[in-house]
Amino acid sequence: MNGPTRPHEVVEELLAADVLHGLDGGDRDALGRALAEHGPDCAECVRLRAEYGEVAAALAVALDPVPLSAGAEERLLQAVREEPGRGPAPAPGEDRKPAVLALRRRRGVGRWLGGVAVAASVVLLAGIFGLGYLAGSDGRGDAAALAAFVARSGVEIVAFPSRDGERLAVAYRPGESTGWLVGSAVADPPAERVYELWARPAGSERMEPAGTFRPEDGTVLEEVDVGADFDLLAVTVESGFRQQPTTAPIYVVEAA
Amino acid sequence: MTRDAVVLGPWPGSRTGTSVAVHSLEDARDRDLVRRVARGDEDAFRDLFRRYGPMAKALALRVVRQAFMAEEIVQEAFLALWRTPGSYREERGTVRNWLFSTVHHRAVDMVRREEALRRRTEHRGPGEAADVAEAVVDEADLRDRRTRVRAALERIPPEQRQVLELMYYEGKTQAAIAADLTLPLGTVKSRTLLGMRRLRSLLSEVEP
Repeated sequence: MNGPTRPHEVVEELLAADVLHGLDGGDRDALGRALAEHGPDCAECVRLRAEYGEVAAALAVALDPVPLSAGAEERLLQAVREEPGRGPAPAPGEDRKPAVLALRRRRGVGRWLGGVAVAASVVLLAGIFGLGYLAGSDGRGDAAALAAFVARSGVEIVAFPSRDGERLAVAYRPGESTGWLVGSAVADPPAERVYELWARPAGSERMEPAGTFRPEDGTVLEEVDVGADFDLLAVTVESGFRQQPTTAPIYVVEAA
Repeated sequence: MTRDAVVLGPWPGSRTGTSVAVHSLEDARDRDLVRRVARGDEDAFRDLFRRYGPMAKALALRVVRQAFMAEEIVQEAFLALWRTPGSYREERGTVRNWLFSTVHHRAVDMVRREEALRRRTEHRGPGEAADVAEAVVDEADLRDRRTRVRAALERIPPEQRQVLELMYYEGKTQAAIAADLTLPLGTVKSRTLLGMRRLRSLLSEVEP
């Protein structure tokens, strides 16, 4: 007759697979319950996880290493340097524009303007951004496309908080994914960097990429994909298009 | 007594102030590097990346099968280390263990979330290079460890090794392996545990 299960037999079986990330949902729950029963200070549970973790790490060591791409180290270090409050100070004489231009993450700081009439929205955008060609000139293709966009009813505008003369806003139509990012006097991002716009779908915790941009002589005029229903917009500085932000936002505006 | 005094082995009255078994000088050095990273030391961070980046990429590449995605995963894992170095807990194992676990977890998550990334290629064992464009500067101690691990893997029964490799290198769950091999789930679980026990025992024999 089999004896009673030793207290850690179940934990060991589950941990041995968990360190390989091989557990299904039910077994992961079972492991959580088993560990909870033993408590966070169970020395045997800690020992088992550490030892089997080392076995898993050994499986990784068994592989031949693969060289990282050219510049990988520098890209990582650049991302590290842009982390707020964690990176080392720039070297003396280093010419680096500050990545953080403004960071005010408070409701109502940005202007969330709803239901602006067509004519008013055009005037608003033109007035905010000094974009005279919006007023009906035959300017660039993007300007004409933006003018056509705001000419239809239902346009709403979200303006990011302004600082040092920089102005940035998003014109969108609720229920439609495509919008327009408009800006003036926007400083260039650091060398080999771009700005990226993010939109958070309403009710979600995750930011979705909406498009990257670089100002041309301070002007920003970009068609963006903000999704049909968002409740927060942000701008970060990135090394290129990213699926998720890797740096703290320099602009944020949230629906009231 | 300096805060960073190194203790080899589970020494009673450890000078580190915690009951931490330091397996080797390599482990002690890695722990010191993480402590320095926590203080914002970029050189320490660079050291860790140079030492473990290529191995981390090999692991991620083995699972996701795309070099670009593998490198993204490695970058994200190391960036996570920079952001929250406190998430590494010394009593839970080596820095190497923690780093590879982070990388592996992200790789497996990606594969399971986006099945389209997985190519149907023939199964590769750990001895085959995944995608080596040029030689990697490989430290002697890691080379030695790699040799010992491969030797240990060869000594566990093939059916146990197969389960471990499918789980770790292919990112499969035990249930998926049971379905793929047309085995009872209990058999897969048993082979997992026995294989890990055997490997743990073999590795402890050969560790210096």
